[in-house]
Amino acid sequence: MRVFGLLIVLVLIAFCAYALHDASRRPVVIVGEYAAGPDVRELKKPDAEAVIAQVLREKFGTPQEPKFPDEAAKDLLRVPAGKPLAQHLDFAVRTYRLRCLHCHGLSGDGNGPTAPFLLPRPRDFRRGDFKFTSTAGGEKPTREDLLRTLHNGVPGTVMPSFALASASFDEDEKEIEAVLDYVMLLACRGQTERLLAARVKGGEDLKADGIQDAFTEDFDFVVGRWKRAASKVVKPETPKPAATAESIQRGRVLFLRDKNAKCMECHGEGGDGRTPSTIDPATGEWLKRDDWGNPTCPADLTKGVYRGGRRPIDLFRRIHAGIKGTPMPGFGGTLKAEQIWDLVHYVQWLGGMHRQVSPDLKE
Amino acid sequence: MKRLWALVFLLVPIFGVGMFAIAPAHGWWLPENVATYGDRIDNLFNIILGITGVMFVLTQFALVWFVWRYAGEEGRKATYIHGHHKTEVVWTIVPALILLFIALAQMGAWKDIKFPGNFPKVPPLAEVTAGQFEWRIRYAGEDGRLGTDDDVFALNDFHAPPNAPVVFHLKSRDVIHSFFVRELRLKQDAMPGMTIPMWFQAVKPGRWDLMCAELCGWGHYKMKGRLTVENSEAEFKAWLQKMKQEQEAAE
Repeated sequence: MRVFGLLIVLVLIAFCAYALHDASRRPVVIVGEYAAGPDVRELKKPDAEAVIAQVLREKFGTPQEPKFPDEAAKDLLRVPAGKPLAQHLDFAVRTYRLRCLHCHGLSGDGNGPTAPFLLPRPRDFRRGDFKFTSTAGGEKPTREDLLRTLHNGVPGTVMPSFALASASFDEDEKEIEAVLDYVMLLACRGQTERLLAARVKGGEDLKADGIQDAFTEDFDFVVGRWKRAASKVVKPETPKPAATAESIQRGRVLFLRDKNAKCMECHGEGGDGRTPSTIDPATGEWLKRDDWGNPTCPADLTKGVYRGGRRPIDLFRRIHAGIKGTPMPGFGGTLKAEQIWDLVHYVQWLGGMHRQVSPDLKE
Repeated sequence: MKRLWALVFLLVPIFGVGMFAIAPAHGWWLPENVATYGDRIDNLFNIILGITGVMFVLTQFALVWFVWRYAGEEGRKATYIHGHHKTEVVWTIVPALILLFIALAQMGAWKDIKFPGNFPKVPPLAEVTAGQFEWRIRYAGEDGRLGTDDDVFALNDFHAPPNAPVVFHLKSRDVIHSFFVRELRLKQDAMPGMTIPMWFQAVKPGRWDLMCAELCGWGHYKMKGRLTVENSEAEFKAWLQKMKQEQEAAE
């Protein structure tokens, strides 16, 4: 019996040694297939679903072996010089699997294993829509916008900064650029899928012989919208003035009483976002929904936490273009740039800035 | 066969001491120290390691000896004793005195590193707020005061000038975290509801990891920041200025 005990001890030691040996170099295994998007599933047409799935698999591959159409890759992705696209995407999906998948999901649907515990929910990339961009309403974000989100995270949410995420100081940028390319893949794939589903919904009979043309047309449209984003960046028509007491006072008047702005209706008189139409007074439940179907509520401007960035230009763009996909509208068409700057100063004041300049304000 | 177990137990002090002996050659030892008070911490570490190492070897050899000497002889009757009072007094008092020695030896270092009254008299450089799972850093800016308009906000990126005392305030947004930079020999729990002053002085420029050292949730393992000690005071000011300008971008 004592020999038996000794053997057990030795076997346990050997097992631990094997299990821990070279743990860092074990291959990352990706399991599963891209799920069909809600637009496709809603059709309830298995034949069409199969045709769409087939062409998407042909063009975008699988999570184990992702692909991207070559021509569009030159425009939208940042493949390192000399590196084969397939190898770059392999590195990209492995990085995504390691850093992003648990929240954003295998298909980029924002429904990974961690997602049910989070509010606000992780982004569903398949619509290709993003909330915090530098571009005008209705336009795609620029690559810099998405890089910014990866670098800074989204303060006030669970989305962290990935600027230092990789194992060594030198690997960070490589990983961030690669992951961004994979997000582009998920977004383009998802958007193309939606457009193909829309054809079927509109009565088109998608068959195997017509699918290639349909795909090319829809995918080119998607790529075109992404490509033009850089030319749609919101630039203030007038430069930002100094944050004087007068400007902040004007901003306050706009916030509380302007009929075009109507800030108070959602953001509340004190700017904390609690109104009966946004937050249930009894339960605290968020009453509004964003375009992804998730509960959402107006920012509490008294906190000084700005999800899309705290720079004056960020706040200007939030007001000018709105927050895409949410009930926050864009006021670029209804308010002048000077007015938006006044509102920016007032928002900053609500968050605690400029108090030396303007200790208190008149009604 | 029964005495074989004594030899198995003998492996414990052999491997234990052996690992310590070969560790420095493999780089499994203390990381480089860049803090002015780092040597005092390391000295205390070595003193305590020496004391506990000797006690470890003595107690383990005693254990092995007893297992070997009295390994299950058949038919031997147990000896009924009521303890040995003098032995027990000695083996209580001696460790107590050793502990007292260690407690007294560390008092000076603790006082100088942890008591705010003994800190270098400089205004705080920054306020570091730990939160699941990032380090939000708010630099006091040029006016040297926290909570004013010229404060500079950074995420996980803690910069400091070299060869100058740095005081900062540690806070927590949510649960208990712990600010830990190995090369500074500095570790402090971040307690929700408290603002804890801390200080260090780096003797050379460099970049080192800032780790969370108190389990704070599923992301604790990757709650990493970076401490960058700049090459000079001027470069630190230039970095701060650059961050401020980016923060105020209006176009």
